Amino acid sequence: MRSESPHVRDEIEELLDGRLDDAARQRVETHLARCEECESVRRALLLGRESLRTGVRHESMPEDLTAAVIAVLDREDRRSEGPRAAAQNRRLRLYIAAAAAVVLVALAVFLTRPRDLPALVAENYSEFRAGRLPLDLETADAVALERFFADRGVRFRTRVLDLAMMRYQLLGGAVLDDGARKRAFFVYRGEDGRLLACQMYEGRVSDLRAPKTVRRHGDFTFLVFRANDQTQVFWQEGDVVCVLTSDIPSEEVVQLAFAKAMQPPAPPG
Amino acid sequence: LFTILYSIFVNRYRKERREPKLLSVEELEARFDGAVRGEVRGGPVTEPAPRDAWTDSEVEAALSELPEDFRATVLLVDVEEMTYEEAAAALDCAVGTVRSRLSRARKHLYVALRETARRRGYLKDAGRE
Repeated sequence: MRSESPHVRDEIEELLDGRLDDAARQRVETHLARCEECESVRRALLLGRESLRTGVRHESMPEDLTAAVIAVLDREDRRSEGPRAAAQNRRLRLYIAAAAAVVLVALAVFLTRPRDLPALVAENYSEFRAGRLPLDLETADAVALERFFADRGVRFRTRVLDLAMMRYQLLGGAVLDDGARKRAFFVYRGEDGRLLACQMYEGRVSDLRAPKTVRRHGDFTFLVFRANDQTQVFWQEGDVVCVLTSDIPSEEVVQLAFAKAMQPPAPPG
Repeated sequence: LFTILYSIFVNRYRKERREPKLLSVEELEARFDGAVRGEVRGGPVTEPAPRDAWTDSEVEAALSELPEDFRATVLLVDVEEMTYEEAAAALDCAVGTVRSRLSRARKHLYVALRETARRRGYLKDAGRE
């Protein structure tokens, strides 16, 4: 099906990289929903990016980097100042080599830094959507899935949302463990095939980095993040943080979160 | 940090290998358009990507076909998740350059991986360019 409106190919990458403002994003998403050709371009570009995120390891540091730095400096010395000046600069070169080592350590720390939760949640969604994150239990039974989470060592009480009224069918769930915490991960599929993922974990939304927007509804505060083509909505329910993630239009994710947020029952006594 | 590292790697790699040549803009666009049109005709084949449509080493091989400027750009943005502005600062180039390199690199990867998927029988003949 072709859209009557002009194609939006030039804006698709900006959409994928989260660089469009809300009005432009909505316009592009509306076009994509109607234009098979542009939607195919979106899928193609997304595929190129996702294949990198899941298929590329970080480049390891060359073991001979320090020696290579010194050798380059030696050559520069010989070329520009002659051997005598090179000898005088030996101490300086050692300092530079030490600085290079510091840079490498900093780089190693940077590359191995723990991913923040919005980034992890986005990655989990992308992995599942790409078929690379299997579900531990495939079921449409919310109660069975909650029991499964408890059996798998999730300490808090999970609340698998009933989204049938919103025409989302539960597919199943998995327990994700990033070393710091266990997260209950469960996924739904809408009538149009789009995926909606929910995560719950023990924590505080106040520990998250600054969101793109903050929305308030009832007694709840919702932190909205954008990651590439995804919208993530975080909110607090007692000691548990809940997250909804999807690549459906951003406002739909927010409205689903508004509809499903619920304070846990007060403890007895 | 990345500026320093990038400069060192550039010097190192230039000694070790010849610069691969990226397809011309026109040729890459033509192949990409052909692939996308194939998917419109034959239906989407690669989302979600079948797990065995290609391997990680084939992704890295496709990546290695890119000139280093393009490879560095796409790694910084798509793997390290830098913003365009951060990548432009690290590579000492304009934001618009980051944007155009990213576009070409992602299209190249898609075309290359789609060809891999086709060889493995994941694509219908209708989708062949």
